Amino acid sequence: MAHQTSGPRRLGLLALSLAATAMLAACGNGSDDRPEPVTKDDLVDVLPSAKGGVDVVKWNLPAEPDTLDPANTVTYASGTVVRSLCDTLLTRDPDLALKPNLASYEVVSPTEIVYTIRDDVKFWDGTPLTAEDVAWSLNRMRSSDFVLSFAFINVKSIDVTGPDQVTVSFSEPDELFLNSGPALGVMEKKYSEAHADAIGTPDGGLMCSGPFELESWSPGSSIKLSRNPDYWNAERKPLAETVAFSFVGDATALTQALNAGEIDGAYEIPASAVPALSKSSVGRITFGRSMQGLNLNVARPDGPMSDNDVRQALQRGIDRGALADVIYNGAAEPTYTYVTPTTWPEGQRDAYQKAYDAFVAERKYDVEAAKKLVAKSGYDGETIVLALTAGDDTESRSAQLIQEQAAAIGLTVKLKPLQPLVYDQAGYDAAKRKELGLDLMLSSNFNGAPDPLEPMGFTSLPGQPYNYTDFDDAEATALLTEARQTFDDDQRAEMVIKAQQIIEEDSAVIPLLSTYTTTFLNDRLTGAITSFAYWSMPAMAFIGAAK
Amino acid sequence: MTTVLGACGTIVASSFVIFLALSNAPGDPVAGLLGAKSTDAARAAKRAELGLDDPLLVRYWHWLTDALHGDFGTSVVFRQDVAGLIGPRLETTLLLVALASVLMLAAGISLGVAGGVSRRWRSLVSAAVGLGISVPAFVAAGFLTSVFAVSLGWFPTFGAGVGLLDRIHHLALPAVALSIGYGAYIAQLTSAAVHEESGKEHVETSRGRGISERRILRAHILTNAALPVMTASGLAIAGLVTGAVVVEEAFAIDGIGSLLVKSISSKDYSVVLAVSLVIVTVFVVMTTIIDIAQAFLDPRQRGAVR
Repeated sequence: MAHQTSGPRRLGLLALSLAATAMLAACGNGSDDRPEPVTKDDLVDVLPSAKGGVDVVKWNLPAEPDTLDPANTVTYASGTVVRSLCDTLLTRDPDLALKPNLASYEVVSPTEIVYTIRDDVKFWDGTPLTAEDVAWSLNRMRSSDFVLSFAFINVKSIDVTGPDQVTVSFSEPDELFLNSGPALGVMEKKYSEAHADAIGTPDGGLMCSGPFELESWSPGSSIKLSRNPDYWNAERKPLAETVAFSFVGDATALTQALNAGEIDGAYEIPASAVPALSKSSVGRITFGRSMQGLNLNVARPDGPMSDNDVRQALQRGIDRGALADVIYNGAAEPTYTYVTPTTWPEGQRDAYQKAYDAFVAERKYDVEAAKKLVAKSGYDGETIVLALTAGDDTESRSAQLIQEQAAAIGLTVKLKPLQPLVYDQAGYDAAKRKELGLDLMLSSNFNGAPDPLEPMGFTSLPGQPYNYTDFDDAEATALLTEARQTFDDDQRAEMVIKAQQIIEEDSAVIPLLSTYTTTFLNDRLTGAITSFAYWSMPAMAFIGAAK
Repeated sequence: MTTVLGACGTIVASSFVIFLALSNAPGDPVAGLLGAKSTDAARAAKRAELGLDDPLLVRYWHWLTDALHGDFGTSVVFRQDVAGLIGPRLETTLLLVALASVLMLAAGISLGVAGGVSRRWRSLVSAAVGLGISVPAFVAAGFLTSVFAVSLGWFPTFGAGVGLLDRIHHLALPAVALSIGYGAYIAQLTSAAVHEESGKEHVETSRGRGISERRILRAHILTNAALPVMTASGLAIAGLVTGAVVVEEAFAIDGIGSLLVKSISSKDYSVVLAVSLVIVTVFVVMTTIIDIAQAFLDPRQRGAVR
């Protein structure tokens, strides 16, 4: 589910798990020497394995989680904590293959999946996990009260159909549902019902089966996890006795705390802190692959951006490389289609690459070509209003650079910073976009699964929430719909690439960057997953002693 | 009695103004709660559940009657009791403000007295005052952290600590950063008041009578200068509570200041109201105390406050 967000603050969508990663397998770089300064040429997706246990890992979250309820886990912060607490139905391995976790699965028909639940899993309180707990957890998530309910859109029913069996039936085949398995956290029914109103809050806590137990949540200061000594999964046995999460949001304060060794590590380091932390003497900064992206979305069907020549002019007129180097300090790379290359399914990369190369050539930075497109268009000097989230330094500098480059090709862009809630509302409300007079929205998004259908569906099918331009192409719709019902990977890729051709031609989204996951880790520790896969795995379990 | 009623009236009126301002600010709180993927129906249901579609006055009335029963509602973002959210953070902020007040008064008054009585010290004090007033708290915070926390390692760089001693250790640098601006203001004011008093006729007369400088200072100058200094100090302490917002952000201390900032941006009504009222209450209480203290110190005003 591709997700438009107002910036890293709110991740939105789910991560059906992560992908990224064949790279995890390529793990690498076992040298003990002090690392060279990072560059975009050496993406690292997991650090060398830990040599042993540690008492405590002090980890920072970009903000205090608003909830630890697995059904509402959609921010960087809550995801990082919850994945280490609550086991998910399925998981992904470094090679990206979907793997059984609490359950194995069988697609018995295009509209029916049967999950078989493990018999050796116990919740933290010692109660064994049952099919009833799984069915109850999934049914609870379907309620529109929860943010993850969108994953269940084609689900007809979820029932216990045997002592260790849960069957999910669909109203129409849905290839994407299986992919959401790595996001579906399972809780104990009895405990959760007894604490119904307080699940995932500092008062109500949680009862799950993950590698760590929730020890305490002191609102405002910290969340502490302690090791689950009886964890069932030998491959993910935690190395740290305790994990203490802090919530430092200020980039300067975070840099200082990391440099002073008071915090051991953090994901999603702000781009502005990268230069200072790259020179740190106590730890290292690492860039990892991620399915996150930065785009310009055309915000409405009319206005100056309705002219395809103007859209194409922006495709050619923005120096994506400069954006990556100057604003993101190397923590990003240019991207030329809405679906970032890290979102391609591993088995079909060659086919996708071939289609992608054509777009790279066609959209390469070329001021003269862009000027010609503007001249040929119907653009008459109108102001193009570009919305962005107020208060995000990296986004605001990106927008300024885009404004300058648009001016160089003859387009007048006005920046309109919006408060986060206003921006979020504009994200799903066409009337709000019109009222504010928005022509473009600078948005970050991320894809939860290595499945291009996820992002493309939301922007390009008629009636979908992010289809801001009312794009409606019968052929593309037919291709995407059929692809979602197709379980053969090669066939599906073929349909998706064909649909992509049609959709990209329309340029309703101008892709800019694929942004990396930026991680800092103190030299006393290692083992961390440093790709965006961290968000879909119990990432804290892998961190341990470096020596 | 009138004072107490007036104070309560001020607090209730403030709550209504805040409620009104918050309702009219742009942005839909449900946008932050359900995420961008939610359906229109789910958002409508959530709005109804939270009572966001009720008329403003109805919503305010509900809030007010609950608040009078001591129920400040539930945070829609944290899904948690507002009192539970504010309690631990308020302790942190109050300790920070208390430390900063002590620093502000100790440094401000002693510098001010020194500058007021000694010609030699005067220029030095006014230079320090100029510097103190012109350095914003967040700049001071960055400087203090990089010198005393990162380079020298004497203090922690962030957080509020656990247990009283650890807390004081954690809050020392933030308290310094917070007290600089108002401390300079107090020093300036004290210096001017002391200077003025020491030039007065009765002081000169006492000098002429050969009374010791120390005694003059204590008996005449300081007693008379105390009134304006006290008034300014009370307001400065109330000002520290609002100043704490900036310093708490810079040192990543989760006090009520940073909670307020976060809650405003997510339109978490009940939290914004409760925190704002805490701040308004501090102001009201401080001004009331100043009134009473003035009456106590100044016989002419005795009887003005009941």
